[in-house]
Amino acid sequence: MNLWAPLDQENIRNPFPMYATLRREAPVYKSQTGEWIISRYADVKTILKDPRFRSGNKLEWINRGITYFKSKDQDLSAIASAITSFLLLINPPEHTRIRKLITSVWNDREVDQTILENVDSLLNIKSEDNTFDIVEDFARPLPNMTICKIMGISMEHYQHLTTLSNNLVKILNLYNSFKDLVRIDSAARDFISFFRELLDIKKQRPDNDLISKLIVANASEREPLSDDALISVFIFLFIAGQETTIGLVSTSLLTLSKYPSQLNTLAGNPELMPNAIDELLRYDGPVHLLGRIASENIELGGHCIKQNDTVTLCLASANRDSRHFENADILDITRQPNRHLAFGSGIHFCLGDWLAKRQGALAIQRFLEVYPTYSIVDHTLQWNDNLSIRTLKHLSCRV
Amino acid sequence: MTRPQSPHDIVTFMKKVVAAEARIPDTSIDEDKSFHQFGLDSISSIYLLEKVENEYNVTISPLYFWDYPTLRLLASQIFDENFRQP
Repeated sequence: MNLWAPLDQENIRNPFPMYATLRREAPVYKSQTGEWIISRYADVKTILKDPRFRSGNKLEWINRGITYFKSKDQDLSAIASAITSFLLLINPPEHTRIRKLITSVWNDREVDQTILENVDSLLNIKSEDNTFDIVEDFARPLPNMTICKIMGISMEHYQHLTTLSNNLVKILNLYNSFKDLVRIDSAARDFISFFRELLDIKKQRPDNDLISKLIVANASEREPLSDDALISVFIFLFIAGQETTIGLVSTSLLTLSKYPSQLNTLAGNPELMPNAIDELLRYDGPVHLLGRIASENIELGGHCIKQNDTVTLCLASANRDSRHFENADILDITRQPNRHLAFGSGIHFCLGDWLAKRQGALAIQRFLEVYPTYSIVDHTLQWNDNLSIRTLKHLSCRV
Repeated sequence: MTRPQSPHDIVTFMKKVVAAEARIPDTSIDEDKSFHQFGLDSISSIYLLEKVENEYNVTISPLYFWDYPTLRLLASQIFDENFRQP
């Protein structure tokens, strides 16, 4: 019996029992695929901070895949071009350089106004029968509208980019089929051509947006990034906060509905929101799994992880580890301290954590103000069948 | 699209794909040996599963390549899931 069954329908609906079994019976588990599954808090944190475990298993894999499928007359090369500068897939010194470039210009944290305007415009749309799909009507469009504004992308493109983003992000799935790869490649192609055009426009007429600032800052670097690399950075910045924020907002509203007394407390005490967001991220944050590769033979928990072995870190499992958190399976919006790993740890710690938290907090707070008595009407919840980034397909509620 | 009469039909089809990949004759493929022994990996598995999906118009979980790691096991699973008469 394989303890690792991330595509099993039961586990897609609720992976926490699988994680609990792994933590209890095989915290460093060699799965049927050959990858190591790491499920306890201490081990996950150690690996995240250990530079001998490098990032980029997906990039190395897709590059091998592109070569292979070329021999079958299938061109998947746009995937690699699109993701080649994704921060979560690259290593120092390249990682350090690109991360520095982004943080040097992404200093405008006054996004509250933008987020609130977007939130309010979405919450005003309500169907006649008083139902509201938290995913489709709210959580999905919100991060997209916000990042368009931050990056200086005209809103007319946002619908199209949402679809592309939804398809491209599947490259982070643990296992893809051929049909998935073809769809991902097509999204990658469209993304690249979209941002190439935008790059040319902003080069000629730089504005006060993130893309323009990146172009200007990059031009003054000693060794500027190529246009291709810059386009990949844009794609990364665009999609990194999409599925994750959709997950944070919708899963959190689902979770809160299961804890009515904490929901009431939170609605009446918005100052608790920052702490509550951290707890919601711990309890069921959107990023469940992250990959690493061992750069050398490494001893862990009595096992020898061999050079080039792939390691899958279960962040969501670490965040429910009772060895680290008291009452780990219970939501407690007043929990402190709360050193969850929802944003990772070490040099790859999520660059957009502040935006994710701020957007999540404002979205949930306003939602509770506008629809204080919302109740979930979806009794058979549909989850996307991807544990890497876990999101609901729909979440219908009565408002 | 074909409808297999038994798991054996699926085995026969997969043998052809695996043989072409491994560049060995179909007849030398032992259906109880693991795919890895024929040099298939996480990438060529995608190709194999795609061929089978298209041949029989089914959808196969990418993880089945590891969950059912021989031709016989995988063929049985695909047959049971899609074609076994109740």
